[in-house]
Amino acid sequence: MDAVSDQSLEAVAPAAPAPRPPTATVVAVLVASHPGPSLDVVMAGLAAQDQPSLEVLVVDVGVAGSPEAPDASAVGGSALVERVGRLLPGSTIARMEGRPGFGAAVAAGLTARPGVTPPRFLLLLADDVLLVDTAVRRMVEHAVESNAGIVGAKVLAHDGSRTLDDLGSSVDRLGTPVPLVEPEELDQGQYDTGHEVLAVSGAAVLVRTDLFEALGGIDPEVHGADGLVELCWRARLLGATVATASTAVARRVDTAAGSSYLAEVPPDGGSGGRAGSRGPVRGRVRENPGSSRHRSRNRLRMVLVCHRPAQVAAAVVGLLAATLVGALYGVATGRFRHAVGLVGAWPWNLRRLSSVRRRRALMPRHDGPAAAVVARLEVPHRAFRRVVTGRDLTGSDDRSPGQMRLHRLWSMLFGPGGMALMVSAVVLGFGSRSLVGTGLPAVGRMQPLPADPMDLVRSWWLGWRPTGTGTTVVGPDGLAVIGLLDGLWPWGSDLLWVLVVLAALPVGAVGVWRLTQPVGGGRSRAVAVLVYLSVPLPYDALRDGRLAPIAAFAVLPWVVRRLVGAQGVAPYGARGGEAGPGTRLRGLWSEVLVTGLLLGGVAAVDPMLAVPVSMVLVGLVVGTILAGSLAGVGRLLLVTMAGVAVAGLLHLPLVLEILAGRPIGSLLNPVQWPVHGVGTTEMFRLDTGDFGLGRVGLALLVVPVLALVVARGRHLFIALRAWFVVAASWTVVWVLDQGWWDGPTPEPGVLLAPAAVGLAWAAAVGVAGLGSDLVVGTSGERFQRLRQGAVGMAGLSLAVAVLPVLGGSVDGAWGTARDDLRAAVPFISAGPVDGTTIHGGVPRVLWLGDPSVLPAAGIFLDGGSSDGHPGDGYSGDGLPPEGLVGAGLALAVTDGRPDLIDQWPMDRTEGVASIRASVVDSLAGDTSRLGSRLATWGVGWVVLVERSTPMPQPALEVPVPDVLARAMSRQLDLERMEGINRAVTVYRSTVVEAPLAVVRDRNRRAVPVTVTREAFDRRTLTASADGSLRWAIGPDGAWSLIVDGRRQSPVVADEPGATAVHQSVRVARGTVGILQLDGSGTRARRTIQLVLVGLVLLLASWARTAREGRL
Amino acid sequence: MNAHRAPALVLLVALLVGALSLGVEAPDGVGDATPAVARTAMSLAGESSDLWFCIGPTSELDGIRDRSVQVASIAARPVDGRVIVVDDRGRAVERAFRLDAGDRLEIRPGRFVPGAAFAAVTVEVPGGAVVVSQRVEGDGVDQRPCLTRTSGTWLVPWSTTARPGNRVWLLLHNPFPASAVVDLRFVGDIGRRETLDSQGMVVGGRSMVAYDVTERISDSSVVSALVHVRVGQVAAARLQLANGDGPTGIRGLDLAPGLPEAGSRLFVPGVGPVPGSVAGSTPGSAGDLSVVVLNPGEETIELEVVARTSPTDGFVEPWPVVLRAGQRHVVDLGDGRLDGVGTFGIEVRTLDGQLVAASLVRRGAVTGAQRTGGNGQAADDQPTHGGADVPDLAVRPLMAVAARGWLVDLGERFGSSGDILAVVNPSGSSIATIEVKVLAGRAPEGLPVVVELDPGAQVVFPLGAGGPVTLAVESTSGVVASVREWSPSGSTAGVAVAVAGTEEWPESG
Repeated sequence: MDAVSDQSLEAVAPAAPAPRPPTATVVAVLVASHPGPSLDVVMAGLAAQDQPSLEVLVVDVGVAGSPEAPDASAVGGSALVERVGRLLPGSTIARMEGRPGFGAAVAAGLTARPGVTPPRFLLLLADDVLLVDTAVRRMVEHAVESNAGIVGAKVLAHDGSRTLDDLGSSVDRLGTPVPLVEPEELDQGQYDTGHEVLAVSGAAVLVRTDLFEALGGIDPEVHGADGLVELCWRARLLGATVATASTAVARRVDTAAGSSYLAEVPPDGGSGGRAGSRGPVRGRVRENPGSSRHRSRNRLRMVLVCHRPAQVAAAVVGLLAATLVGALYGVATGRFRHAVGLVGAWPWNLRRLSSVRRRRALMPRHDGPAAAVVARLEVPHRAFRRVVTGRDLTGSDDRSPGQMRLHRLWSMLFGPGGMALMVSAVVLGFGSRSLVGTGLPAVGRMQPLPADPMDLVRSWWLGWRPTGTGTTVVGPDGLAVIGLLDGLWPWGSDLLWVLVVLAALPVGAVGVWRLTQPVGGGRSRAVAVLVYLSVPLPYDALRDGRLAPIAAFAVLPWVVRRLVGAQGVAPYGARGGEAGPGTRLRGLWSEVLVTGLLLGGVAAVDPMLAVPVSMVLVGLVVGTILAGSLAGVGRLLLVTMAGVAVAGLLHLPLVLEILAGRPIGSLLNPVQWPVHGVGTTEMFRLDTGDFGLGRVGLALLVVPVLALVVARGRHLFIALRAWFVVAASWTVVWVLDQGWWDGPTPEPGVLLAPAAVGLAWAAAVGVAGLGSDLVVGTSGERFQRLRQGAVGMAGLSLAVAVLPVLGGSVDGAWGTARDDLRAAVPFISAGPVDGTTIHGGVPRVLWLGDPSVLPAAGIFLDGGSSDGHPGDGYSGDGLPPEGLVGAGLALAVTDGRPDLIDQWPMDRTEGVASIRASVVDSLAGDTSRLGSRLATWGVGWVVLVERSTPMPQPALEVPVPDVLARAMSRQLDLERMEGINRAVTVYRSTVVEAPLAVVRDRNRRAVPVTVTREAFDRRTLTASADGSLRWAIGPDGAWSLIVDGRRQSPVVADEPGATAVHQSVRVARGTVGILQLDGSGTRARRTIQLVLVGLVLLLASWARTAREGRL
Repeated sequence: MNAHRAPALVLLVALLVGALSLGVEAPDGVGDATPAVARTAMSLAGESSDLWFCIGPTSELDGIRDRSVQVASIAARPVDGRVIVVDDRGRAVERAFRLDAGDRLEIRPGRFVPGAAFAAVTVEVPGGAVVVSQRVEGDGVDQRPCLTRTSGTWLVPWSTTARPGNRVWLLLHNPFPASAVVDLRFVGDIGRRETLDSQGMVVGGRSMVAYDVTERISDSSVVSALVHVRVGQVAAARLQLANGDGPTGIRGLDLAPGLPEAGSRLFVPGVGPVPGSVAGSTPGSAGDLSVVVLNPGEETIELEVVARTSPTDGFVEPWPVVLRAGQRHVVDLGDGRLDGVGTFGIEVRTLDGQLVAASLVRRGAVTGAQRTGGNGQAADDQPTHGGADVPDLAVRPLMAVAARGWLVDLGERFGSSGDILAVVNPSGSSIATIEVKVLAGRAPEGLPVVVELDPGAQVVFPLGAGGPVTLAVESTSGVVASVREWSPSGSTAGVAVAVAGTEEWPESG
């Protein structure tokens, strides 16, 4: 038990208050339920009061018929009499059966009180509050001096500290009581003067007896502490003064039985308990005390009773809306009682409208000043959220949680870490200014959004895209998100795309910031962020138009943070030590589900990011084992594997495709990785381009290496894991760079991204080690010099490492090209949008060259060399002799100008297979009429790409093999176009056929039809001749022609008029039909996927709520 | 949490050392050598599609009596193809054809483009297995296979505009839809010559240009030409007409294809003997055999012209040449070193690996006495028809490319005598086993045969007179095959047709 004479209390309460003559009688009403030892403390406190005329009335509730102790009534009752008699001789004991509310208990107790002289004051006391011995007197004095109708006490926490527990509360416009003090807030006298509240603390309330009677007592229908809030509220409306006597101090008593009767733990086991006794409270948000059911009922009743008539309607409507949202929220977060309580409050109150009317009748009809005072005391913010979440979102105005968060962020920003972040943000913003202004160049995979960005969503939903003559293999799910974002984005699509790409830098930096949060202080995090942002990877990728490394840069820090959190070793968990700052402890299920969601999110960005994630996992496991421990390895593996399963569930359509035989390698874009394409020193510098400083870039490694030398204990454990993540990354890249693996691979930048994270992580440990580990047990002057030297070296290396970034920021575009291939081939138009009409459809473009410079994803021309390669399935037939086709040459086919929808790998399509075979034949010299063969698929342009951007812009330059140039130049029906930037060589087909055309029976000529794009999956065709209408849009069978509402049967291959390659139907001139994509199967799969995503989100939310509940 | 530093550090250091020491060597980047492609190469049946480019005059040109293009099938089934005839006026006529197995088709381009003095024929054969050659008759005769490749560079080492009596055209054919832009450079007697109209000359798509060299580089005993195609690709040939009135007295016509590439080792087999070198002939007579070497590069080149003789003929001292950049040099083979030497081959090789182009020129204004000699025995390399002067001009571009397969298509040769097929093994170290097969027609006497060729050696097969015949030469390694023909109308010579895909660069000697 806490000592009453605690120093802190002495500081609060005057040591020797001057005695005053008794002026008022006070009856203390103590409502007790199943009184435990703490009641003795409470009664002792009452007995110690220096208030001369203090009468005590103990109301013992739940004596009989109590569900908790049905047989203990007699025994318990006699024991209570004995205890009261011992501590408070002369007191009155009233017994009540059942389980009435606090107000009803008080009313019943007062009825049972002997004597006819009413006291001047009533002291309503909870059974978990110890009053300091002068508290009652000071409350009385305060009431008399200030003519207050209700006076409360300052309630401190039970743990002997100076933590404030309760100083009363206000209400918001929807009737939710809002505590005045923050959780864990220290008493520094900040509320002792000048702070008005609507209601005083319910722990000890001194109320003038006449006022109490005028108010009709505590509303018996309002349960728990809310009853006293409601009492104070109505007192305010009557014009009475409600005040807290700051010199009257009480302290919460730790009740072994749980909560006090005032908190009213309901028989149904609802989530009761006070805020201060709830264990760890996260942030500024705490659970609302009391039963959710009762709180909801109380809220609505108080609104109906206490609000002015003009406010009631608005409040009821607001409450209704909040109830609906709150019910959904409760279901989403697994707080079902909260949801049920919110909904159940309505019928409960509707049944009691008559009592509401009676209560309102007690109130004055027009009391402008009093109502104004109440309105002034209302908390203006977050009323809706309080109802929805059921949490006490404390504070108002300058003390709102958001502002508090802002204050914390502000103070953090002016620490070393914050300064680093701000400087980084300034440099990144300065370096990106031109990109934001003029947009990203369309280089490599970084092509612009489609003319109608919603096509990204439609493509995802319908499972079809026009790339490669039409494929059912669509891009990652993240594309659809970008399309949706664009729908909500009020500005241009280009700006959105710039911001999405550039966001990778701050997202990655913040990920490292969070990853290193438990490691050390602000300096560690600052260095980690600086190291991470100094890695050349993202800037190289930006210049070369590679999206995957940028995505890996953004997401991998978060993945590492998640995986080390799953491992749960200190400071990322409680294994082997204390959890560090920012660490959230989760249950196994929560870990699995959250990990699964994260991995699913990563796969939505790009499925091939699974490769670097695997490298991270291997690095963590190996690093842990080599550090001499197996701590958390099993859990890490278990959580990761289960998380992978969850992620697989989230991507069920993709998983089903793979199970149906789609090669894993087909998820990878073609990447040409020649031997020593990266280089060993470049690998160590994480430089896949020309952004870095050459060998000086190795300065990036200095601080991470220091971590291996200086770190100790758990810092060393982190450093080793970080370095083995780095080692895993470097090992894979090195092996691939030696040419020892010729299968499909992600881009080097993707594989080096784990190394970037590992180095930043290790750098944080290095700085933390310099700050703490190196000084432990070492105090010699020589050692101090050594430490100073290490610090200097670290600082110097950092200064060198950031130079490329500073230099690269000067031009405002990170050295990217300011022009792109669109300018080189302006005659190639973009694809149509809805409502546009074009004859025959958009001529297709065949792009040939190294995959890194092509503006669209394609397939290898030589068919690849191992299973699962994107080019697989085409190899073999008609391949030219080995070496004739340039190694790594790729082809891509787009409908007109490429855009973002064309940037992801595609599966084999009939069109691409045919086009590839034609190109291979031309390379082998088997045809000199390549144009004719391509014409059947509507290819109007053949573009050989040798530079990723036009001359003289900076670019990747990979000349096409001579054999290809020669082969194209000897085609009799391809006309090379002159006067074009030498980045490309463009051939125009002189024999191109429209993708959508009617093939005349008479001469087999293809006559273009009039095509109007009605929707992404629907086109209106008007036949311009008699014959067979054929559509060179793949895949076979995905599209069908509907005329007059009837699906037309395709012409059988051996029928007269059948077209050689494509599906066709017989039409007459002038026939109007709808070419419709059959996306029903994909829509069903997407629906299932969405349901699964929702389900997993729900489960993750429930798992998290359940874990917090246990904590 | 206590972590152990040592094991992890050891492994990390081991990985670092391994990465720095165990890596494979970086590739030197030289592996992407230009593949060898003969200027005339055909595909066997069904293997590939062939394009043949035949460029030349029509009978409308003064001095030309007839020009025909022969399309000969060696396929076992009917072959479909297409013929496109274009002229220098921009006209283009396209026709499809079907050729039965083993059949022949003769096309007279002048009939497709009436009134045109020059016409180019593109024969497109999707299935291959067709040999296309052309024959031009006038004051002399020229018969050779047509070109099968276009190029961005063409070299013509020899022609002459010596006055009077010589006329020269450079013929450029662009068979593709887009225009080509060509720069011409000439090397005459007084050095390098360029004219305004030879720079940036446009050869329209599907057309040809006949550039009259005589007008621009007049009165030059030797004119070499370099064709650089700025945009696109063309096929090129040079037409030389000589009426014997000139100072050298040469007479005849020669329609030699250009050389699409230079080489450091160039070959022509089946040469000689030099007139007068054998008993009774007149040694060193004017207008005999010479080799014209052209240096298209930017550096001075040292080279030597080597006569590959049979072992019984002994060693012949090579002709050393130092050739400045952009210049050409004429090596006269009739300086007596080849006296008493029978049929031989010529190799031009540079000593420093630089690239040159070369042609063997026979420009004999041969008298009747020379033809018969004192004892009436004809030299191998001269016509022996009748007693009147016979036009005799034959220019044979030296080959930079060897092949393991060659095809020789010989038309009717009932009036021919002394026709030979010569094969040389350009290798300096390996033996080539060659087999000569008869694919169609009646086999000449002594064929087929299997012969082993020593490094640098050549073999000559007399073909005699007879009807049409198609021969194939198969070899275990790359060889160079050449045909030399004589007819009453004059002599002509050219290489055989390489089998596509069997070409290779001769190994360095």
